[in-house]
Amino acid sequence: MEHAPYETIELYIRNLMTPADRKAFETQVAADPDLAGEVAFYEALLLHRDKSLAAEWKAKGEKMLAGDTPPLKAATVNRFRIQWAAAASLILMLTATGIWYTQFYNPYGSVVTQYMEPYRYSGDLGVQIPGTEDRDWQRALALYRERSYEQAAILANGLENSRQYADDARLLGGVILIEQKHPEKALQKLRDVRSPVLRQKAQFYSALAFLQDKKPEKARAILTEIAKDGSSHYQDEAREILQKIE
Amino acid sequence: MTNSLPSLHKPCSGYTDDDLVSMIKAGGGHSRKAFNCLYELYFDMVRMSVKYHRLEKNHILDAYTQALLSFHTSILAGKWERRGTLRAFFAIIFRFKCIDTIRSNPTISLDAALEEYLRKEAEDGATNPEEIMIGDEEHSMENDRAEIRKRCLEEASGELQPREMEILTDYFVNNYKAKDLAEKYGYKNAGVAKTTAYNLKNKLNRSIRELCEKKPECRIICP
Repeated sequence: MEHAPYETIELYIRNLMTPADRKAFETQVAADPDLAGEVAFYEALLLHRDKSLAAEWKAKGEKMLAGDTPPLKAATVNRFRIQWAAAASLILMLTATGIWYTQFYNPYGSVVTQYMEPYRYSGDLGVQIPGTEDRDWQRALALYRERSYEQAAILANGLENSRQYADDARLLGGVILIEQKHPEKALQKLRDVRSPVLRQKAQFYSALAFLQDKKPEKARAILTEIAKDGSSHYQDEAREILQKIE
Repeated sequence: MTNSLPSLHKPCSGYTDDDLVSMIKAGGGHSRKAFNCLYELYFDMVRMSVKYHRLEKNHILDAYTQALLSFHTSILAGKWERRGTLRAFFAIIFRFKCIDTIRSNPTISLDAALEEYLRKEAEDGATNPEEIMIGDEEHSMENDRAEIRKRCLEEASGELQPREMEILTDYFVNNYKAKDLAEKYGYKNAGVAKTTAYNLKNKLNRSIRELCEKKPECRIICP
């Protein structure tokens, strides 16, 4: 069967044509009795169909309003669920971002990496008859250079009461803790370094530890002191870092 | 055209807007399924409208039914251009039908809260309501003519049995294939069903012509 004429006829009957198209169609109908007959025929069917559907839907609607049929949940239309899900997603995203920022992201990480130098012992290792402490210290240094940090740290901890190696051991321990990204523990170790010779190093490492700990104000305070101290070996580095973290 | 139609066995919530539109355009059983689903999916608008009880339940149901019929023709005419959701497109039509209902009943008025609710439903329509409803405005201008035509055509249709009108409607309006028609109405084969449909068409046309000869006021429906 040919549907094409009926589609046009339906548009005409339902008044969904533009005024120009409607006028053109009416002219056509007026000139063509067969077309006029088709319009009347199809209009009769549409009226019948509309009446049947209206009666059927009205009965269905009354039944639904009376509560016999529960409302159908559309997959795409429950606004409250969509809004709740969107809010929950936003909170989750913000929380995840917050966790990432506080726990993982460090804006000063690159500065610490750039200026962090390995620990170097500047003391004398050439004892002819090494005692236990000497051997332990040498072993600690060797392990540190091999990056066996945990074993090096154990030995260094054992030497913190040593008469000769106490401050070096604390400094080594502090550096290892910075390498292992434990800045708070590193600061505790570095704070106890008393020797004036090693104090400058300990101060500089402390500044780096504060940056690693995301406490730039405290790092700035130390670096400012170092930058003013003409005798410090870290004066240039301190000035550079201060510029970077401004 | 029907090779990509969604299955008839899906739950209503499983159809996308595009699925429903393609089912409506396909006609037959697919169109029926689509409208059954749409009736239920959008019925919350009726519930909300009834809640604002300035409009009676019957008025709302009538407006809803008329909106669905206009919606059907609008879809076939390609008025939904996917610029918004299908639901919002329907909401625009429903809102206008509610206003039409009020216009024809001077004792009732559109509650402000209902107006606001329907306006919000239609917000996502992204369609100019004027483009959809232009036909309805013109119809109101030719109301008397339309009423006469309607009365006369219903009288002419009355000469056929309800089953005969159903067969004609299914074949010529609901786009049933001859094979489906044969199955639904128990004909021997598609050929018999098609012949029956065209015989009934001749019968209705004859009835229309006879009415025009009998009643001068019904000449409006005749060529």
